[in-house]
Amino acid sequence: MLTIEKLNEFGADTKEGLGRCYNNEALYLKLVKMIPAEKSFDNLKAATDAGDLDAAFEAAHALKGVLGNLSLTAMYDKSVEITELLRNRTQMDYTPLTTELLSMRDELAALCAD
Amino acid sequence: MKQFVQASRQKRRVLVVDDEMINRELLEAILALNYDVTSASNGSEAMDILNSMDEPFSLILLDLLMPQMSGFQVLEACKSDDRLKKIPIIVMTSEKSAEVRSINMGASDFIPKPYRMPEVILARCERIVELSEEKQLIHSIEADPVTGLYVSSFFFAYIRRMLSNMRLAMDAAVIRIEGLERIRRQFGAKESDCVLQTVADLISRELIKTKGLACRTADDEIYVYCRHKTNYEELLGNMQRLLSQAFPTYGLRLQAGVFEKADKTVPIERWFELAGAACDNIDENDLTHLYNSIEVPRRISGKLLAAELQTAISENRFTIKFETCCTLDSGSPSPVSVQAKMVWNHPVLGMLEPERYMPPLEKEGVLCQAEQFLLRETASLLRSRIQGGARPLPVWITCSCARTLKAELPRIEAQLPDAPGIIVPLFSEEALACDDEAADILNSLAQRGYQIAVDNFGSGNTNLKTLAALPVSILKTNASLAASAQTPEGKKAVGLTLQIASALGVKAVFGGVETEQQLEALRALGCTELQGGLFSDGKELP
Repeated sequence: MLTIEKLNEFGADTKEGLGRCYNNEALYLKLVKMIPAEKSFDNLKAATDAGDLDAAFEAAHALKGVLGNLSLTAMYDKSVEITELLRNRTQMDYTPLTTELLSMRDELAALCAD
Repeated sequence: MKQFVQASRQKRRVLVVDDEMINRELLEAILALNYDVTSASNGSEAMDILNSMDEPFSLILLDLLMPQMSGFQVLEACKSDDRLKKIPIIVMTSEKSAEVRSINMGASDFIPKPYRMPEVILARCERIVELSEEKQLIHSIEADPVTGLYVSSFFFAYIRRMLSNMRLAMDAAVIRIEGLERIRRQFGAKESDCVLQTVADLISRELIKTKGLACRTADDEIYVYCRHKTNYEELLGNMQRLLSQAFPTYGLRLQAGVFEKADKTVPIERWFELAGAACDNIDENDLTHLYNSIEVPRRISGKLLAAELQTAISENRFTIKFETCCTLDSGSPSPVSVQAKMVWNHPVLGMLEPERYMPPLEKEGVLCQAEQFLLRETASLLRSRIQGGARPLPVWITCSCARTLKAELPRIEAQLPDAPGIIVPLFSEEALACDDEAADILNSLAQRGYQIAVDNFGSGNTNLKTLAALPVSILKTNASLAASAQTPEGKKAVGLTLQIASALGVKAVFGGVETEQQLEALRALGCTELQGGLFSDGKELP
């Protein structure tokens, strides 16, 4: 079961995240649980693999938004990194970055599933 | 009051537009405290909701980056829709460049992502909603409901605001609708409102177009502040034609007086006084007239006079003259008293008799200032005469405000030990009409030995109850009675006056006697006290 402590271990700033929810723990956890299902993760991967940097930027940007709002700090920082590179449509191999982000997603998914 | 209004209101509605469910849920949780939240997950859904809303939304929170219809497109769509453009929009974005762009497109504020603390978001929303509601309130009170033109207070406020940056030549005009009052009386306010509305529309189209303001005044005149033009006669001609087409049987005629190139060198209120004066001078066959400072305005403006009063006093523009009052007791007229009158030597309007300037000053509420001055000057004159050994006759002085007189008494009585007796206050009906305080003052004056005289008896609204209740000792009639003393009706009126005076046990004085014929007619009717130009050329204190 997902708990605040587990999220803290995971690297989230739960204090800040809870703050945004008026300290409504149930709401916060409910929203965090929605993250693994976010389509933007897969969209991002597919887009970068295909070289469609416009679509990739949109996906990265969307992720940045929700990750930031829930203060999932480690994932947020990674998404910021990707977003900034994509903002300038930097031509590079995004695979290492996206893989890392997606594995963090999977880790979170596991936490939520328990 | 504000708390009462807020408490009695239902929760305001907010629309949240964001393609991310997490964001929608978060915002909903934050806002639900104060608002009724509806969500849309994309732009088209948002527009559908907005276009079909029954209860209006007080606020829209709009995410900018959305697929298909972007936030900017929604912003654009809202601000160009008459009904929706009033709803304030807060955009949500983490892009700095988007912030400025959205403000320029009409967004009221922006909330960055990730969101701030909920209290901050709530406070910002509250503030934006409040500002928007206040703005709408102003819009609803700044305009006159019939014509849609401004109410005069806002009109002047906006002109003042525009003046500081105004580089264009602007004119001030007064538009009158001749016949409007007649239409109102004949057909009712609904019809006259219709006319007013039509004229207001015509003015907006022909005179204001892109730059300018107009307002409707309490007298159903329309003040216009518009770009300088040289073809008013033509424009008014068009308007007149259209007005006559719209109301063919009403016989309405438009009139426009224009004060050209109105600017800061003349006070704003005065612009419209001058334009109004120009309106007064419109020729028979014209519709318009431009203000010309060399022309003498036929109408005397109270506001102008009131503003100039103190200057006139300090510049010695007033001359005091004395009209003798005679008694016929000994056969031929012999002086028993005089009335002090002030003539105003006005630089533009010429010599103004009291009958011309006193009513406008009274309307503006400053007549007592002039009377106070007259009282003081007369007292000084009397004092120096007395000190020189003369025994002056009693002097009557008009008084429209008992309070003013009361305030002056200490000074008067110090200067003139015989004041009750030498000074006779001549009260207008307004002075008597008002209140208990006036009655108290009059009673105490009578007790101290003052004679109380009532001016214009029988020609105004003299209240019989008041007359019976107050310690009046003299009734004075005005010129209208003397002038008609030779007619049957006039004779009757004079007779009645004498009877009333006798019943009250007071003296009746007939003023405004100018000719020998009037004198004889009045004498024949039994009048004994007469006053007027016939008895003196009204120069010096006898």
